[in-house]
Amino acid sequence: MFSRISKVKSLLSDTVSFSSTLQIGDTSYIDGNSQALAVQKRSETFHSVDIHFEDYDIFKKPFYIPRLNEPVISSFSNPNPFIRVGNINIIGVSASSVVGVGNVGHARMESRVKHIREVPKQNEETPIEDSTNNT
Amino acid sequence: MEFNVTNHQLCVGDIKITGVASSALFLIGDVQTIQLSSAFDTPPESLIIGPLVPLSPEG
Repeated sequence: MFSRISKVKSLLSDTVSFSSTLQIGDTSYIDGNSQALAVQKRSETFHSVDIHFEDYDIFKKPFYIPRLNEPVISSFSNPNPFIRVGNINIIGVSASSVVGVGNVGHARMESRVKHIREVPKQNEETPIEDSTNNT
Repeated sequence: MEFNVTNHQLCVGDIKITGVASSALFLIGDVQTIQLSSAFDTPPESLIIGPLVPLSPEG
């Protein structure tokens, strides 16, 4: 397939972290995968927690992946062979994300995030503050 | 089904992005196929009240 040429004036990214990629140039395939367990706790001290991805269903279930070969007869023509973009400013690229300039063959990205919140039990003796003023 | 695409001029000005995260894809260019899947889970069971350490797996 005849693809276009990407022309970018400038690209600025402050942070590229956690297996993220900043790809300049053509790519054959991209396969990105990210799994995250986000634990939020209300505590003075944060002790290490013994948690495992396999304990949670979200990381075990196989994903539905849409099929690649749809029965569609497609044709492309590019009278203008350029994609022009001005200045790009990205603050952060994170968690197996990809920022790409150029043509890509196949791209497959997957993300699974599980949030857990842990809050301490409220002391039952504490009287509930009455917001209404009954004087 | 027949799908015909004619790409005329494509000109974009400046792009400002705060974040690209969780296996996201920001691409300037042509692509043949893209497959994206994402799951984000924060159910009521994920809220644990009380000093339960270590965290119990979901049942």
